Amino acid sequence: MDLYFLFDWLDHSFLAQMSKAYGGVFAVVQMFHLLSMSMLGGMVLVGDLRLLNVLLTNVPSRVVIDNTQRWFSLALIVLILSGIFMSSAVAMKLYYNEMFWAKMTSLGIGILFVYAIRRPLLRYDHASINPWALRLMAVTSITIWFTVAASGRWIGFS
Amino acid sequence: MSRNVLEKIVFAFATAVLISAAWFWIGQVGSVLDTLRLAYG
Repeated sequence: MDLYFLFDWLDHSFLAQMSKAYGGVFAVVQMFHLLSMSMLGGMVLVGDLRLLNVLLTNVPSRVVIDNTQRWFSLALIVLILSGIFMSSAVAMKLYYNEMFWAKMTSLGIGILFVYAIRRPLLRYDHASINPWALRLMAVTSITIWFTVAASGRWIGFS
Repeated sequence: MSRNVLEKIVFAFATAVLISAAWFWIGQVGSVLDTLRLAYG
């Protein structure tokens, strides 16, 4: 499916006019984007390293996971909203950028993984889950979100 | 979904993701090395 029309629309939207005309607004939104990215990364690392028994081993993994999931969702919402605003400034450039599509693909995979697989499985008693499934899930989660963040940064150099 | 089914999905999904990620990053790092080789010989 060709999404050109969506990027063309975004490029001519009110958001694009605002993001191109007001550098200060763009900078503030970018700050929120980076802050929420660091929060999301932090929540991923804390939750997954707990599942790998690397940190917070004296706290039940259920407690760590329940707390990190809440902040993860908030960070993801802010990331997506601020990301749409920032994309509007360079919508057509992004449409032709390979790394942007790598980032969007990995972001889609990450969201699917978190909400369709990780969360439903972690609702069960953690002690009853196959430990290898937990470890593999943690490593996969770190890999996916590392790819999202790193390919996002790579956009700036490609 | 039952726990057993979800565990099987985790194993399948994780294998696919880790192989794809390895392929992707090996390609990316390879392209950087090629660029460095072109630049510095």
